[in-house]
Amino acid sequence: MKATVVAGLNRGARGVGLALGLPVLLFTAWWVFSADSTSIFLPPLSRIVEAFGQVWFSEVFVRDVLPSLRRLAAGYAAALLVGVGVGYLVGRWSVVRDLTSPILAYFRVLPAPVLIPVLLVAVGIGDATKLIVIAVGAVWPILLNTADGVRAVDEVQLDTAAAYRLRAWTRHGLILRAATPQVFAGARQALGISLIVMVVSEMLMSTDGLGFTVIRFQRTFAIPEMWSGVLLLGLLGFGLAKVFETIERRALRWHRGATGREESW
Amino acid sequence: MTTGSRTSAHTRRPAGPTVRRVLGILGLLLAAIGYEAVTRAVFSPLHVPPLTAIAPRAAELLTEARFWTATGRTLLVAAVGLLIALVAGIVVGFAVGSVPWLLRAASSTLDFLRPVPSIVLIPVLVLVLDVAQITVLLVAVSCFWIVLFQVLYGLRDVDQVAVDTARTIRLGRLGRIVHVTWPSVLPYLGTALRLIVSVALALAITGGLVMGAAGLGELIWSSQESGEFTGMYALVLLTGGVGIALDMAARLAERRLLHWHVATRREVAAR
Amino acid sequence: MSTDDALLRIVDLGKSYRARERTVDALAQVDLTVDDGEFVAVVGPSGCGKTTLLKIIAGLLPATTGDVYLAGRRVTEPPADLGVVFQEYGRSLFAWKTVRQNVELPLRSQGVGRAERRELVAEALDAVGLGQAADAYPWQLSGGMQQRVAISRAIAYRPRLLLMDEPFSAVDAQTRGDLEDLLARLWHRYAMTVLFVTHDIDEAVYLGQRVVVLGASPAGVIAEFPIDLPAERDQLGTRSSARFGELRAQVYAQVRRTPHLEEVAP
Repeated sequence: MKATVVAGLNRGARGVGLALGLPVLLFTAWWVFSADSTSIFLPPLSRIVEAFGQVWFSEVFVRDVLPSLRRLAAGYAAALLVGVGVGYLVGRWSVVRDLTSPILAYFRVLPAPVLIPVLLVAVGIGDATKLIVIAVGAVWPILLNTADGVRAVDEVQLDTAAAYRLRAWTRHGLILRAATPQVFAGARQALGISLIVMVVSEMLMSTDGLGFTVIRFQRTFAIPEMWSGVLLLGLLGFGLAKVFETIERRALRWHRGATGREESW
Repeated sequence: MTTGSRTSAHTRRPAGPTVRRVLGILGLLLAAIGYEAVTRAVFSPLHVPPLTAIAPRAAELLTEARFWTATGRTLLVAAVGLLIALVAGIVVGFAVGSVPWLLRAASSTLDFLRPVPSIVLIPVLVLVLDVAQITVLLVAVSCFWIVLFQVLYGLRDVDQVAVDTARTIRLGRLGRIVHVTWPSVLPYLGTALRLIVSVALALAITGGLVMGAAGLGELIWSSQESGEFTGMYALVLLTGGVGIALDMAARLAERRLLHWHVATRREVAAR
Repeated sequence: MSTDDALLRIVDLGKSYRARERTVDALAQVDLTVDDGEFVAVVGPSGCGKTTLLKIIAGLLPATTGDVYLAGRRVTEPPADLGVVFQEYGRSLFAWKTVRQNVELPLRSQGVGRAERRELVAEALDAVGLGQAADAYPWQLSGGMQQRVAISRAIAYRPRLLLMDEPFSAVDAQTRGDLEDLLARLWHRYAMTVLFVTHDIDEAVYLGQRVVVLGASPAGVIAEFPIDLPAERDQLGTRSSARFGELRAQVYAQVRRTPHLEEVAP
């Protein structure tokens, strides 16, 4: 017991070293090799970092970053609500599933960004449009995965719930809980999509927001500032994925335990 | 009691294939009628045209050369990007995945880079490449991550017994890859193929929307800008059709791939 | 308490499935009565419809013909006063709930108050020897312990009739013996009625006051044996007694007479 803990610690320390090693190496390499760069397209990393501080730790954060995040959060939340709700109905009742399956198959393959011009025309330019675009783009993977998960819930669990006369709402809750691994898989996919749709919609039709600001920097040849925006978008994608992963790990601990699967190599 | 409490065996019994198809068609009809009714009742026909206006326009587009040229360009861009992603993903995946310390060293970097949406590259690349090249690159980068991670999952899934068996019959490194590793990665590549086809289409179209790279996305955006809204709706409708065709092709390819895989597996087992 | 001695009455029960073009009769003309407080073991060849019978009794499947009465009331949906323990313990427990929450769930749904609930759960867990494991998750426990949780859940519910569908067939032999003795003790202690389905003749004779043999498809009751072994049974003494051997042979002869028709399994 003790020996394995120590071994685990050692592996942990070495793991951290390995995990940090390559990113640090890459960052240093970029720093060093770009230091003397005179190309206007590839400014020294030091200039980009400097621009990062100047641009984003200012009122730009309130004016452009916060609205983006707000739209993203609202659109994503709406997608979750509708996707899980409708996905539950589709997964639980075969008539609903049969009725909707061709329509769902269509929207599954329809690329989310084409909805931007459609909603631009239908709803007009504005905050609501961007929010709806994000929600409509992100809802499909959540809906389809939820439906799959609900449909695959174990018969024995359903029989158990019925035999012990659990209340209807308790039973719906149990089915949804049993489907959470798939719900999370869909939600993870949807998170990536909503970020992309957010940026694209801001590039195409906006007067504020991260995507808009980065494009504005590029058009005005504020290259280090533009790079800093690209960096911020990358960090945002990474940060959101990490937050999501943390929540997922907590919520699905039982699933990893029950299936004996760990999500690492 | 509520019907929901009735037994699983009851409510969950699947209907026959004919009934299901009829229900599916019924659902499509209901959706079409619902859309028609809502558009006629609520929206202006200019901004949200009814299906009875969109469908004839879509049929018309199918006879026009510019639709097929645009579709061809989009598909070409998607295909080139996809091919690059497949080759790069497989090569990098095998290189990183078969060296344990390299995998551990790289995994944090891969985890960091993967969620970065490839479209953040647009402003950077616009400065140095033309829009068609950028679109290919966008497709390639996005699909690359999917292929790479599927290869890594596949490598993790290689049966240790099969590896040991290969060792005992003294298969070399290359022999082990051909007969043991590759067959167990293949189903994961099949999954990757199914996933990246729709991603490739989405990004090829995004490139058209954002940067005006020639193709369906550009056609849709220019219809919107020139106020040709019914044509835009018709193009979106047809884009979904292209997506379905691609999806079917990918599923077919996957089945072929896996069929071959099963045959190979049997052969290995029979040795 | 009911004055009627028969807790469970099954009358002329039949069940047929429609599979593609033909109908398969899984059960036909099953008649069975179980008295209050009785322990009845049902044996039959595999695939003979034992599980189907149990699901119909539990109100989980509708019968094609005939009726099931529990405490005089016709069963059309899962009745109150009924606990079920399934063979697949790993699948019938909710993996995201702790042992305690799993046992508590049916009580909560019945609206049992918090204090009483806590008492019932603690007692039921102690009764199966899992008082210490209340806060563990099912998947952290061994198979035998998981099945104890399922039994504990049934007991906490205080059912008049406990249905068990091959509950011990997926655990190893040693654990199986322990669980059999545990069940026998619980039956005495809680004065429940138990209907125990198994394909293991030894187990049926060892546990039951009465053994019912189902024939092959379509299954009906083909024989019943009162088990006149002493009430207190133990793995070594009882199983090695001459009477156990005789009863076992009698039941075995009946089961053997019915042809195995595994392909009929629904």
